[in-house]
Amino acid sequence: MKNISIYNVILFLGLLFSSAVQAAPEAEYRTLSKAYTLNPDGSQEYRYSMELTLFTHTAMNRTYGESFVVYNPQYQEVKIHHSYTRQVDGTIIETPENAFVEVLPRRAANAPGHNHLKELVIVHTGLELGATIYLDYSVLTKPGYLTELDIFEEIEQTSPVKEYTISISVPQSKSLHSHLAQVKAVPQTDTTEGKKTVKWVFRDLPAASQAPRVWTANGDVPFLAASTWRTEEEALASLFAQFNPSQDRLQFLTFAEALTEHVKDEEGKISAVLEYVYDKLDLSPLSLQETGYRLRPLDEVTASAYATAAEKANMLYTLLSALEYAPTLWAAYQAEAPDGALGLSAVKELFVVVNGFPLSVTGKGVSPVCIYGDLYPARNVSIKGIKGKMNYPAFGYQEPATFQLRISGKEVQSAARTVKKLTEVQFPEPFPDKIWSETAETLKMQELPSGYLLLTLPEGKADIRKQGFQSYNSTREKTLSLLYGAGEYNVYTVEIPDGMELLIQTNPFPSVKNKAGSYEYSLQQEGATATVTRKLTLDTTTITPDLYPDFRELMVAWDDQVARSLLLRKK
Amino acid sequence: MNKKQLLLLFLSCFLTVYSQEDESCALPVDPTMQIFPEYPDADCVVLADSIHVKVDPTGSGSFTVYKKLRVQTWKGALAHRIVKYEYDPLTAFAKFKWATIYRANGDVVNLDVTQACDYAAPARAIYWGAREIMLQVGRLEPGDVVEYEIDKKGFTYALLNSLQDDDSRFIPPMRGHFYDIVPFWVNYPTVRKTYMVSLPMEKELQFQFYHGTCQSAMRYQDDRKVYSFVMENTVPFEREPNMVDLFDAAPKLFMSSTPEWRDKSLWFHNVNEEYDSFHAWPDAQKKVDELVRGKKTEMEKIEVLTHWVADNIRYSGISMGEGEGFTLHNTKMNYTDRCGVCKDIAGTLISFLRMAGFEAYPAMTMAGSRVEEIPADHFNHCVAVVKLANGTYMPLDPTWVPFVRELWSSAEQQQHYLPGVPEGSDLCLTPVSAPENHYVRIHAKNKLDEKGNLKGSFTITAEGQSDANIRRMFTQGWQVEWTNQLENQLLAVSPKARIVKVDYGKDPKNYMAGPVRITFQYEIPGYALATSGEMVFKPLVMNNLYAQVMSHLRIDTSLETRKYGFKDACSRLVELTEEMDLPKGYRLTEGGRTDSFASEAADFNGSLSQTGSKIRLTQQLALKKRVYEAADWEGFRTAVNKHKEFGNYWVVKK
Repeated sequence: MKNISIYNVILFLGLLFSSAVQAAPEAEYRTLSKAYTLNPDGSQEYRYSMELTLFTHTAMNRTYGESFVVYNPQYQEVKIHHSYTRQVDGTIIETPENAFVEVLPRRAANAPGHNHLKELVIVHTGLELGATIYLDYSVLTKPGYLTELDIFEEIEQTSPVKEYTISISVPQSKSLHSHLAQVKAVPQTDTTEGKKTVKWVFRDLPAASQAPRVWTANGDVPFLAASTWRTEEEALASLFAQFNPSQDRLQFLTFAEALTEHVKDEEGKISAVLEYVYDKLDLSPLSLQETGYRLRPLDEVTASAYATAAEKANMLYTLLSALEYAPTLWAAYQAEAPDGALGLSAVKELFVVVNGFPLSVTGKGVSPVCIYGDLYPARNVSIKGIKGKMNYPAFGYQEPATFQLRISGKEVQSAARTVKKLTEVQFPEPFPDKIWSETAETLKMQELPSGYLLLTLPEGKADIRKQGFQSYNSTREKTLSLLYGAGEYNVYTVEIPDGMELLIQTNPFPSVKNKAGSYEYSLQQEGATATVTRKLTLDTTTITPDLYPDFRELMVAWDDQVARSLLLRKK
Repeated sequence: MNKKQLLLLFLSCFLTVYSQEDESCALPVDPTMQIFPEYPDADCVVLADSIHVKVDPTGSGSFTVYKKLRVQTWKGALAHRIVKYEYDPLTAFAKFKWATIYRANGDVVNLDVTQACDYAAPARAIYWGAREIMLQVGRLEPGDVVEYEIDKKGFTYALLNSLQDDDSRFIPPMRGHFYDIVPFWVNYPTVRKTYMVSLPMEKELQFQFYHGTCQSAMRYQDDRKVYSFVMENTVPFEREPNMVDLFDAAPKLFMSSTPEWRDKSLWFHNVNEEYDSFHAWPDAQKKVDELVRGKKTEMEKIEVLTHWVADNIRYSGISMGEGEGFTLHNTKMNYTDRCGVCKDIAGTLISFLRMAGFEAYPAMTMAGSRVEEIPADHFNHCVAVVKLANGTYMPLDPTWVPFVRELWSSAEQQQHYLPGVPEGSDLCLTPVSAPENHYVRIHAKNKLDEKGNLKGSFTITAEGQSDANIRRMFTQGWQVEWTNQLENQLLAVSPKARIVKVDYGKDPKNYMAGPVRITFQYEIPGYALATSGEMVFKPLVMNNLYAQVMSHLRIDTSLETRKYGFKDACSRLVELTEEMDLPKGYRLTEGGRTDSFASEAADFNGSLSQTGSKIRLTQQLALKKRVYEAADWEGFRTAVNKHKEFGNYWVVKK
């Protein structure tokens, strides 16, 4: 049983330490406003305005010195309404002409087909501690580029906001769906001259958390989703219309057959297609949003030898369809929201499912959203009306991973049988079944003074320890989501050779059961064989702030170097 | 037609095709089209790589850049799906002249170079409008050969990385003079690499080829002097971890028509004085007067001005237009914008110093590698020099010392610089900074109980670059993260660690108040592995504590020898002491030991002893340079390894 007193005292002291230090902000948005307008002719305007006061060098020198506006000049124009700095003594420094600089967005580098994109850099001049930056600009979009208004925004900013206004104006005849999550604000609606406007005003917003892995999908990050698509399906259909036009079918059948010419079996053919998409098409990091939700035709993609993630999804889907492997195309969203509110800007990732396997389009293996189980709500794009859930049975650890360790001198021969985590699984391995793999390696023990030897027990390649949760800070205010299949169960059988004795440690982190799960540890010796059993069970993969201290206790327990080691001594 | 042929036909539909089947039959076999068994694993083999330069009397150069390469793997194919070339439109112009693909199946494809992109390159921190030209080569397959030529006119300054009727912008700032810096190392096996420059007969050129040999020649041709330099069958340079910059070790060619550094120094002085870069500005004068008020000595004034400029003129460079790159922005622009690149930050300081009554000038320097005797413009950074009362010039670098308790960053020790002073100057070299100027001291007092639980406290103090490193979380980090960052220092030792208390003083951002000092109190349950009779643990001070400042630990000492020089972040003195109070009756099994070592590169002294129940560890490691010669490796490695050995596990037994 755990020693309750010492760990609870230490936990208390840790919390006491952290709460005693109150952090001042680096900067503050006095006002921030974003106004989205859809006009009757289909043109749009996005108007951004901020008053941002800088308090520290961190804000001034490293964070807010420039603003960046990415746009497509073929359809869009940036109009600066005003840009200046007010210094502490009231002096106004207008942003000079040479401080507006147009460059290629970094994410469009090496992408000739997207070389038209632009990034307007606004260098804020005259900054000093206490200065306020005033910036107001519009991005005007011509009709025909963006079909609908399509918004997905996290509400919190990098610094606190005293007053933040978001407004959306659409023709009265248009439907507007919106969903505000994790923050309260009563929308104000106004209808004048054929235009409908909805406005939210947020006051005294705190800064966004800087903790790692804070995602809207976790359920506690405030966001606004809004769109004028009639339904989610309509939005996805507009995207899917760009996939695999029937006139390309013969060409890509020919291409697919050529790629798979020397392969006989179905899985081999699919693997050959994957090899082309992963290894023979360079990946451009441009997002769907940055490309105006447009995909280049597949022949252009092939000829250019590069593709965005969406274009890779198209290529994969088209080639597999041509070979009649019945793939389905899926879109995973950043968060869940009522029907219609989620447009294409809420799409986090597209992935293709074939033979029940959700393929990543950007690298070998399982789609990155799917390794988190059903954290990211998914929709079947190619078959209407299907809302995903991939099939994720409970991933219990009834059967342990086993490690047979044979010591010889300072070396240890390890023969292991471990379960692959989803991060390791590759097509055509079954998904999401447990897949066992066998490995052998030679380990070296550490020589200590006076004839002692320290053996660090090996672990699986994707052991949860490698994700580093044990080194996360002791407090956390936001939910943390874990990979599907989080948990471990390892049994080590160690043969102690003649001439050596095992010294049993008396202070490994004790077995513990708490609200997040449990940790079990035992070390037994029978003759020349020692058996170490370690098991980590997590009752949930959604670690809320309430659960976080217990979760961290389990992570620290799992990381415990005492329990992961064996101390031996030459007789 | 089989499927592979269909595939190639399908692909070829989307590219411009120009068949040269008839001509290829008539031509002799091109030896450059051969397979290269010497480089079977290379992603690509460069068959020919050449630069030809024609220099005008004004010093402006017309460059022909030519390359022919053979792709051998799919990785190589993807790496060459585009060809890209950078240029600065203020001083240069570049365009693709032609480009051709020779497919492995014999097809020849002439790419349409009019479709090349010419655009403002992605940018961060420096927004001068640098441009790139990019040509899409597209899908390649192993065995394909790509060949292209680029024409460029102009020059490059400061290494910051249409044909028109008026070529005046291509005339280098030092009119009539030409220089070039040509790396001769390669990223892929290269059959033949050539550099050729032709000059008017009246121009003289000094040159040197470093770190290797090449075939060099000079010929008189068409009333011009033509110099050529060729290397054949070159393979990618074999790097060593932590080695000096490739410019300091790999083959390179430097050339310049400028006779000596003094000439360049005078030019640099004059161009900025003529532009009036440092003219006083009333608002800036007010600030200077405010800053120096009450300061008595020249050093006090220099310090306050340097630190204000360093902390308050941020690094973000916007272009002044013509002259950008080698002309320092004037005081009005700098003080109004409150931002600039290194030359503008240095320019602000020079103006401030002049407004405070000092004589101050700009200086060029090369951060990261050596500057050679040949006066080619191998500079990437601009700093300042101030004349002291004793007549000597003192270098200052406001760009590299924000929140640093130095006026010249010791991350730039052993660095060449060229002051632009009115009397002209030769190349100068900043001295080595003694390790004690950058000490980091950790003193810990810990107590272990029989269950292996540890309690204790340690204090860390530091100066110079070590101070800046440790203090960075306060001066440049987010205040909301201070607690977490401090906790992370202990979590790096053990995730089981709990901070009880930490004291970093009232104002840790005030770096000028004194060396940084932080005291931690903590508890770490289960720190030692305990059995019924012994405990095993590492000394806390050497167990990944404040590893961020111990950059020497990131230098791989498993290498037994080195061919090249190597670098650390800075010289440093590391002093660690730990007192560990053991439970009654426990003793170190290894007994005590001492060790010491001295060399030109590094010294070490260490001891481990036990008196009663207290173990005492002391460590002193003095790393004497920032840039080391290869010959220093033995001394450096020995000292660091001896230091590391004291960080191994201790075994204590009852």
